[in-house]
Amino acid sequence: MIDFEDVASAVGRLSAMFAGDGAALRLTAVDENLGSVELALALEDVDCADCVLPPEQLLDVVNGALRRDVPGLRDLRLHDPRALALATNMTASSKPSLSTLSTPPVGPKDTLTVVDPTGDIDPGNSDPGPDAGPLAGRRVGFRVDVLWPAWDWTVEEWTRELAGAGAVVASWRRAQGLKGAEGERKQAEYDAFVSGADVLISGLGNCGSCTSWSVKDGLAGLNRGLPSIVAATAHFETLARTLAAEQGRSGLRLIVLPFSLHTLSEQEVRAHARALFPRLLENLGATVS
Amino acid sequence: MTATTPAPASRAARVEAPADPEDFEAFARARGWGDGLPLVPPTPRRVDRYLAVSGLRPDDVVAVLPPSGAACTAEKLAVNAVMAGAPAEAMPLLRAVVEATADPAFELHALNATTGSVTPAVVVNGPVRHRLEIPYGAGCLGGADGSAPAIGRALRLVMRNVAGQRIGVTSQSTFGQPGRVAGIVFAEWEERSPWAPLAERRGVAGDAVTVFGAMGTANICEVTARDPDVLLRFIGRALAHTGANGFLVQLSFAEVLVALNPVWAQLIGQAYPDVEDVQRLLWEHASVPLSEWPEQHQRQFEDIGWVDERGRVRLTRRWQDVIVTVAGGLGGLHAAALHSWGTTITQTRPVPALPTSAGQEPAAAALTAPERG
Repeated sequence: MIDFEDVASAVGRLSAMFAGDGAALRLTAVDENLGSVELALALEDVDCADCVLPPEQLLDVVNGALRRDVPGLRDLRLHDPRALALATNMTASSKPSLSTLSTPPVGPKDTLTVVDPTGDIDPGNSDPGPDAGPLAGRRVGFRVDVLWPAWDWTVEEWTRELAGAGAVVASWRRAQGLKGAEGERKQAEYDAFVSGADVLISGLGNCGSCTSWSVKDGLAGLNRGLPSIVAATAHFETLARTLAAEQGRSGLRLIVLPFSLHTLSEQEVRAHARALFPRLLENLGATVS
Repeated sequence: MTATTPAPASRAARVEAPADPEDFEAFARARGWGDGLPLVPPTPRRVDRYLAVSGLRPDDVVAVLPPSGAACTAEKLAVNAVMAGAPAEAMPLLRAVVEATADPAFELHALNATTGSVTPAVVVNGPVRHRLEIPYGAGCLGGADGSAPAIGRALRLVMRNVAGQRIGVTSQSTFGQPGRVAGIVFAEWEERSPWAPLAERRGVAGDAVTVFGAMGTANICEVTARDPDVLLRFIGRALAHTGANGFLVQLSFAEVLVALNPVWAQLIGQAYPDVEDVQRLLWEHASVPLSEWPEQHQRQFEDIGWVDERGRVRLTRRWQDVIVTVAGGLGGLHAAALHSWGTTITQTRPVPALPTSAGQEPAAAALTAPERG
């Protein structure tokens, strides 16, 4: 047995993870008695369908999250239009457009009771926090790191634009993994930096651990009620969204840099940064005069 | 049809699952519970037996684990230990390891997300090595019979099912490593070591675990040296391969764990009865001449002051970060190196004693309530 409301709520949280790409998960059918759920991936508002998680990975993510949130779920079907396109181009071993994960039917004599091994996750909320609004005269804080020179170049470009629009820009550099007294001192320094900002931009998610750190530091702003956004490169977008959701803030704003920064020249990175500036403002809900 | 049934108060959900082993595998896999190897169904009876051995209440929180932020309760730990096939008597050891990995200094949130291949490796000290048959001799890092793989696997299942480490999603590990399936769990051969046990040197005597963020295991072979200084020089230099994370200028520190076989340990121990001298020598030798690096790396090392007075770059910042243990077969000839991922600080914890009888009141050790970071 599953409950429709539980399913709808879980799907809503999942869908929010893909909102940054313009994609959505739609609940198309629920059988509460059979424990089956059908979903459809909506890509009408998506500029780049390939930027959304690939079909197999998407199914894995959706399956894992729904199994966790809806323990009675037995049968999951996910209609993914990209898988349909794939099937059209395939022959004998064609991949079905309907991704399914189901388990064999179980009769009452064939069952045993087991204890769920998974952890209980706080569903949190999908509030992205306040819009930044007009930036003139506001203090914009960039959280940078010691890993990616390309992120420094990007921040320099955006700083120029923001300063030109009248914002007061500052930056703070995170050295990952400092421990002990030095670590505590740096963390206190960062907390003070966030306290002194009106808008927070944290990056860069361009590897696994640095994405985790960028999200963690971005959430420090969001959880204080600041307009906050995390920058991540395309490959690490899903990780960033998942980490934010698992820390109870699935609505965390992201600015996705659609390239792998460490393989581009400085000139190319700066050009991309300038081109992305309007997207940064849009995702932050910010305006400049 | 599968259904969930109400769990007793403060207990994990109960789920109706297929009894047939193959069907259970499919059932568990569809829920993302497994790693591809067969799982033991975690029936309430089995789980309760493990809980009784642990001396903990089901809802006692062992640790809160990132990235999920979920509480690893004693019951969740027991469920995953059952599924992995770990012995019930390993529950106190598993508890100690989970507590160690959850220490903020171990930086589990980043370790679970990284593109690196890191996994927590566990070195066991004390009589518990014998009770749990954790290998410390021949083949101790893999292949020896005993409970180490099942204990390691239990920890991996906890990471998957409770901490929420999912490959390609919350874990971006480019390659992973075999230790991400059954862990890396081995013991120190204390009886053959010329030095005090590793955990005791780190402040915990008796039954203890030392948890280290390991990128994998690397073999170091030498068949001619009879001089301990030559051996230490050879081993130290072999530790310093230029692709090791310790040479990333972005990392504030690194560690390396060296397992010396008992034959070499005896030879070295006669010359250096203080293990700290061994650590210092290995640290000195675990370095690479600046000239061997590409120019851009040379500039980076010079800029941050990592080039020593000999014109070499060291693998770790401090001699204390070269951790020495004794394990392996009496055939000698090899050492094992476990390089750290980076910003994880090795943790050592005592292993709580087993309750004198199953089902007694929970152990007196204080357990913290879950907190969100």
